[in-house]
Amino acid sequence: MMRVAIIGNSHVGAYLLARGAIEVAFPSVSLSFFALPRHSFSSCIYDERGVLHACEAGHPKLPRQIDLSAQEAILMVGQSFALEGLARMMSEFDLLGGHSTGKTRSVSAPLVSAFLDHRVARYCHKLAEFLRNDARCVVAPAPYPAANAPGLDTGAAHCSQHPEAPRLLRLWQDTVSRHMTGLHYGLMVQPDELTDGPGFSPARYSRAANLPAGQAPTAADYTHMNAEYGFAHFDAFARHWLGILPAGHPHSPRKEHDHGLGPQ
Amino acid sequence: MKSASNNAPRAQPDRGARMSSPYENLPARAFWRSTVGRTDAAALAHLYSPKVELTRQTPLMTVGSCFARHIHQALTQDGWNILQGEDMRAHMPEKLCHQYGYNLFSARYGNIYTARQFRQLVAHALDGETAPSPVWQRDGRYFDALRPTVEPEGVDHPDDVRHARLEHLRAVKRVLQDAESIVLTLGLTECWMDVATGLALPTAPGHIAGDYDPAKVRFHNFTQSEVLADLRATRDLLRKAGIKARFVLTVSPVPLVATASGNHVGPASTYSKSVLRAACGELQAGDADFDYFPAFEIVSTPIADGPYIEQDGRQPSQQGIKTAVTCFALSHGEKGLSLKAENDVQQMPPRHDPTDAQCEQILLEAYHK
Repeated sequence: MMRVAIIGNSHVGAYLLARGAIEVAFPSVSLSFFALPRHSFSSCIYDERGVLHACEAGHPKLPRQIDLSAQEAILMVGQSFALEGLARMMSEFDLLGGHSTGKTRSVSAPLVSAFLDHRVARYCHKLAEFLRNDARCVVAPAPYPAANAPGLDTGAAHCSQHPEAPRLLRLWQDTVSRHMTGLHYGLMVQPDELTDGPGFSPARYSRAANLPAGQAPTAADYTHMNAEYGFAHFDAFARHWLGILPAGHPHSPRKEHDHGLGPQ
Repeated sequence: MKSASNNAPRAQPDRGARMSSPYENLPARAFWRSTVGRTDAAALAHLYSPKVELTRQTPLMTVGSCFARHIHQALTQDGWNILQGEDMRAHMPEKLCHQYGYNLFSARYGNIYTARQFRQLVAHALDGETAPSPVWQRDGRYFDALRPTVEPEGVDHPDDVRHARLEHLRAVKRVLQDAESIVLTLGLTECWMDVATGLALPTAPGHIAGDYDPAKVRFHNFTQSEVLADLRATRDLLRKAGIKARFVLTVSPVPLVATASGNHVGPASTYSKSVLRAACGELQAGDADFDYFPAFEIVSTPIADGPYIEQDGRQPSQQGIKTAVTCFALSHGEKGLSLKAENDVQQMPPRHDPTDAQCEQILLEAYHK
């Protein structure tokens, strides 16, 4: 069995939801999960034995530790790579020379570039320290918000909804790639099939798409993805980074759901 | 024969009475030996006698040459209410803010070396929509000739320079309207003037951007009467716009890095500082709207145990700036300097993400499906 740990933040949820489907499609893979309290590197200690501990009280129902020494591969998901910092900036400023959104202040593209360079470098530095440049680790950015999300006022949505989103996100992605090449970790950029234009995920992958009838989605249901996304993302990871294909045919929890098997 | 008057008895001097002198009732601070070289609170408090009391709550605008940056930073760290019209600290670390001209002064105007530059800035801010906006070029990039350092790499198009300048001038206007006092540090009398517009430039073209063309720029060395006229005209512009801010003038102790006057840089520097200091003195003595704070003397003379100069004999030391700001506080009846640790100031403000709790809930749901 190939032991694979999926660690990160609340975005680990999509892979937990897809666990059954992943284990059927990839029978040679054994999965473990761990989410960092407060989504913060500083909330955990990675000890000399290779065990990652939560060093502060998280929710009592969440795992407090994971033994990474026993894993062949580690997929670290949901990483923001400072995109929320860019989003905050773009919620307050227009991009000089770009489309106006009526803001009273603008920032130049060189400033945005310098800002991203600083923030992403800092993020990657923390990332490098966190798992001590462990070459087993592949890092994946958080999914973009769902394309059908109504005017979200949080995080990356400010970037996705910005009229200069293609330019800004390309700059961000280039900066992330440049800084990650200096680390021993792999960088799993968002697969094309899991995006719907710059800065958005296809609507069908959001949690909002799977909510029971009558349950109103919250903002988080548009920024967090469902089991189908978890499966599709893991599938892409396994093919590219683990070099394994799904057994039989590609397996989709959506198809199981559609065939009356219910949610995973 | 002696005259009658010679026979009259002569008044004898009263040998018990003291001779009177115009200096005899002066305070200790009037005497070199009793005050110079002291840095205790009592001595520092008497270095400067402000006409108007300021408190740490009084809204202050900082502007001027590179020494004004030190004053801005020290006053900000000491808890004075320094206005910030184009704050960027919520987004970027201090070093990067400074690299792009943010948070060096009360707005992103770059160094304002001369009284003429400040007069222009005020005029443009109060009439921003029609203000001229000369643009320089370098390697296909465009720079604001009136603040060429704020975008180190320039911008894509001349229109972007003008757009950014308009936004900047609106911010400057807001700061002027909010300020009760303008702490203006005068740095130079030497200046390059744009021939086409008549505008005073902060630097000669060819250093940061633009090309030096003697037909397009001319050198000018301001006289005391010109400096006085510019400062008074600035005050008049503000009053005409209903702005009540007063001036606290200082003179930068940082000597000229170079002179274009044809003289040796040493005497040229002395000329410049002397003209500025004399103009400040004249305004302080005769105009209620102007005060003079002796930062120049504190840093460059022994009056407060200085001089406080380092780096090639040009830059003020941290101790000198601290002494100047302590003096400023004590003179206004405020407690002395209590500079926060630099790291405290550079740290970005903590942020609370309201979605955290919601995200944890999502994770819990996934674990328990």
